[in-house]
Amino acid sequence: MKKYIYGLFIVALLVTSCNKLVEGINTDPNNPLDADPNSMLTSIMVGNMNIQEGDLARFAGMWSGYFRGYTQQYQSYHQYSVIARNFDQAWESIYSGVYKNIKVLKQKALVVNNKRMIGVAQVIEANLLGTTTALWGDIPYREASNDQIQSPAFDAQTAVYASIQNLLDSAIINLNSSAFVSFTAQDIHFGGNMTKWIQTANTLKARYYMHTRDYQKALVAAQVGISTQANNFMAPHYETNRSAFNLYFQFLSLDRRNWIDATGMFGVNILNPTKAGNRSNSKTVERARWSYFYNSASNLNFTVNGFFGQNTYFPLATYAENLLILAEADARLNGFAAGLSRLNNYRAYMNTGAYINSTYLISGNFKYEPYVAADFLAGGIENAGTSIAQDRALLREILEERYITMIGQIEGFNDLRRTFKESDIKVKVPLNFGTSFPQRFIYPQVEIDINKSIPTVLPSLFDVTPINK
Amino acid sequence: MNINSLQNTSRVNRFINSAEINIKPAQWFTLTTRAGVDFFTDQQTNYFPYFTANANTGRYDRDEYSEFQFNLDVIARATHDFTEKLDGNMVLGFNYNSLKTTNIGGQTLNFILPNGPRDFNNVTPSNFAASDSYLNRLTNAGYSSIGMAWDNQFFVNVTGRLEAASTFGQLAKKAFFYPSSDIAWQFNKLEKLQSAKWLSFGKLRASMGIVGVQPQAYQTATNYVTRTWVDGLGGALDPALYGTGSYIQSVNKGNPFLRPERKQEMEAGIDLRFLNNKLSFSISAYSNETVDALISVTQSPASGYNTFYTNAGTIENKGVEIDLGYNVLAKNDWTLDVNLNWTRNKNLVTNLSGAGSITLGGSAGVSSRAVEGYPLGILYSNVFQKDAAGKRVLNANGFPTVDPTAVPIGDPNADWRAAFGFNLKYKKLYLNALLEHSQGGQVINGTEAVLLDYGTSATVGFERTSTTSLKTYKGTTIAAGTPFRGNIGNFGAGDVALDQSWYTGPGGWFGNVGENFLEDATWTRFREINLGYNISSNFLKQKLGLSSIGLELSGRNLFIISKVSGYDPDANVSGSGSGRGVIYFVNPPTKSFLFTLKLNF
Repeated sequence: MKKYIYGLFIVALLVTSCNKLVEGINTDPNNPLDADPNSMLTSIMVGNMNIQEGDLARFAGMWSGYFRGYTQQYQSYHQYSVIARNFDQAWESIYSGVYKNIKVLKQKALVVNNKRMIGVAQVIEANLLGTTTALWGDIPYREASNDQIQSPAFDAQTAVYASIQNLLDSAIINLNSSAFVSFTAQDIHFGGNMTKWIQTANTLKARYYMHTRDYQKALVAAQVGISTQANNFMAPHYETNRSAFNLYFQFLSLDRRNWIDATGMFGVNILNPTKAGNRSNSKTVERARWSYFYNSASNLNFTVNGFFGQNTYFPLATYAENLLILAEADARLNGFAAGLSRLNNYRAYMNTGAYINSTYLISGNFKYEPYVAADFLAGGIENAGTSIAQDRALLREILEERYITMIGQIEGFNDLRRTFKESDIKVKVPLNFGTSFPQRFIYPQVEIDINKSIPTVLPSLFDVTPINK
Repeated sequence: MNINSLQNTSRVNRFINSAEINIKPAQWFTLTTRAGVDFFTDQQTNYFPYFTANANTGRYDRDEYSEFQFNLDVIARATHDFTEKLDGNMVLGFNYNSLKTTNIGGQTLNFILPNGPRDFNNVTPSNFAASDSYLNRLTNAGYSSIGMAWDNQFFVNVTGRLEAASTFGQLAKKAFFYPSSDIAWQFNKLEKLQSAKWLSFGKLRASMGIVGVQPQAYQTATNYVTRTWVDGLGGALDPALYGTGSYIQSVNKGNPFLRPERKQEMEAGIDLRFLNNKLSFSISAYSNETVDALISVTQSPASGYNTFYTNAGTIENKGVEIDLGYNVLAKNDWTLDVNLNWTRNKNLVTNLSGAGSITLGGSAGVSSRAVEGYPLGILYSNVFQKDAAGKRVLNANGFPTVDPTAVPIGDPNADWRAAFGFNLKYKKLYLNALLEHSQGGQVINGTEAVLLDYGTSATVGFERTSTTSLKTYKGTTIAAGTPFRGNIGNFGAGDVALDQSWYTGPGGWFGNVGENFLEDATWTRFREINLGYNISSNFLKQKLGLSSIGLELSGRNLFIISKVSGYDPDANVSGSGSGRGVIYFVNPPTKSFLFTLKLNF
């Protein structure tokens, strides 16, 4: 029996040495465990670009009459036939991708007292979650990306908008701070130019006040918003490398050829100068703008000079949008004369060629002469057919101008839903299918599966979000 | 241009070496030390010349993978005869295993010189991407076993293994213990039965044990990664091409509590042979439970992570296996054996720690998943909306509406399987065959679904005319007597026209309603038949040095009987993983005829 006892003794000895041998070699040699805030900033910006410009914008565009889903999955989407899982990937990018890292970045920037970087991160956050709440309504915010909470609560949409306004106020204070560590090289939007960031923050404030129909505050914010095209908040793209190309270009030209086109869609038809019922008139020539967005009656322009071109910068918030916010808000609050003057400011800007690529700015192909009051009176060029009141006719034209300016952007879809009940002036985009217009995006399957805080009654694609009720 | 210039090669060099030292200081004691090294490199290159589809301006990738594994065992064995009938043995061992891998590679696109050398320098720097990764894993264990045998009819073995691995979480237990034991009783050796002619062999056996699977390496902490932002069905934006490059926190949550997954197994069975080994019968029943199954658990993205690799699941298997064999004929030069085998396995995912569902294979619309309370591989998809009474909710046009939320819709696992075979021999000529049957289970016919979408399925190749006017899914009306392409359907509110708008919507693959395409996966298959002849003679042996020549004619997978048409329900889009039951342009298992010539020296 003795030898067995010796045996057990040996085993015990081996066991104690066991653990020592394997300790400390499970540190990943391939990925770091930490990164400084400057190294995180660019990825956050690019992640936000992916959300504003990627598949969410394509869904929105298909449902806003900008383009047609022609084959495969997109044919189904075009008919409003989407399932919860179609939104998984974008939702993951928003939350576990960009938003989580914005939170981490803000904490790290605070440690080194980089107030300006915090301000920039807050503007990106506002843009990211502003789009998210506009599309989905109630969304996780206060409890999102918190290591302690597995099922973050969904905050009411109005509360999210209020938080975003506070966030932007705080951003403006931080952007004005003199405390910073330079991040010029990492700031791919503005190269550390605080004036441009502050103007962007104000335009975004104005945009989200528009969403909630708080036109007075929108007007105030837009007055200190983006003041020139040179200060536009844009997603940069370069032709050096495929993964720096414009996302629309990648989709239209490289990854999913012919899945999307513009045949028969409302957006292309009202710009197309050869189409009956287009929006050109004696003071307006749209051929250049039509060529810039669509280069035929059926295609999106993804040639090198087009809006969807390989290295065309994609608009995230622009001088053009800011001018149109001023026009609509002023017209709604202060009446016809104020609104007309604002619209004519915008038309003056358009008459310089504005955001249209210079290739298309051939004399005679674009003209935006100022309107006069009579143009909006019954029988005027902007109030033909069944007439409506002059001030409503003006708003109708402002909304249509916004609709055209936002081709390809999620904001176009947001506008259609915001003005959906104003049947006299809204842009009358026909339904692609059935009898209902999509009023939101549906919650993703992955959140339905896991998050116990998700609303028990899941809203359908056609349920109006709280702010648009 | 040479069509064979597209080249993908893999060159493997492997070096395996092992050495063993045995020391036997006493008759009853042996000490064995065994060390082994296994080293291999795999050099893979993919060359796509100019004008290749998807690589129009050339692409050249090269990957160098190497793996080094060192294994050391030190084993002490002792045996002892206690009495004439009782003997025993004991083993004590120590095992050390180290694995190191490296992977270095490069991918290049857009050649400068179309016919230039296969070299990373034949592209501009922006068209070159490098990848490199390392892995280092270490395991060690001490183990011991004790075995006893009584009178050569009663056997007991007990084993214990204590294991520690580098991949365990720093806050988890340092080492895990895996016991196992088995017991067998060969009861035909009982004196009373030794004389029984009808029983030639009888054995009762039972075993139980726990085995472990260690976690993957480097899952114990949350990393920072260079992330490319992928855009839905479109392209991607890579932050490395902007600013000064970036690292952000990963979507995979690190887990400092990682421990091995453990499978607890129990099995009992009986093996019997009767009538001078002519008839054989065996039955086994088993039950196993995998606890702490290592799963990459889906997280609510709003919580900040997509996945959390953790000990989350409990998966249960229960099953029975029966084998029956009979030697029908053994006379003169003839022998004929027939055998029958029947198996049944029931699988259930009993716990996923609130992980919802985990994708094992398939697509966005139709997938095979692990879902709590369902068998592993359950088919998961969207369905048509039903009201409280279970009736389909129809829209104003009489068409069903799609529920955008996915649910389990079918079980791809078979209820039972059986096989029947025979082996007939006459002198040196033989003929054997095997027939298999799989009962139950479901499969989703994605190929048919997508052909409906494209309008190329035979089922939509008709022009129909209705005597009444019909609504289409799109809401338009087809007047009575007007021919249209498609079918006439009825979902419960009268006839409707199933035309393009239906099949490109919920009636086809991209409508994501998997239940439309669920089919019974039962099949019966003629798995194989072989006819052969062995020649051996003195002539062959002496003149040609051949001990024998074998000639064989075989047919494999000759025919299949199943309720589905146009495909093999046993095929699977997810290959050999745990995902089952989704067909989507899968290559069917081939039918083959073989002629084999064997020369035995």
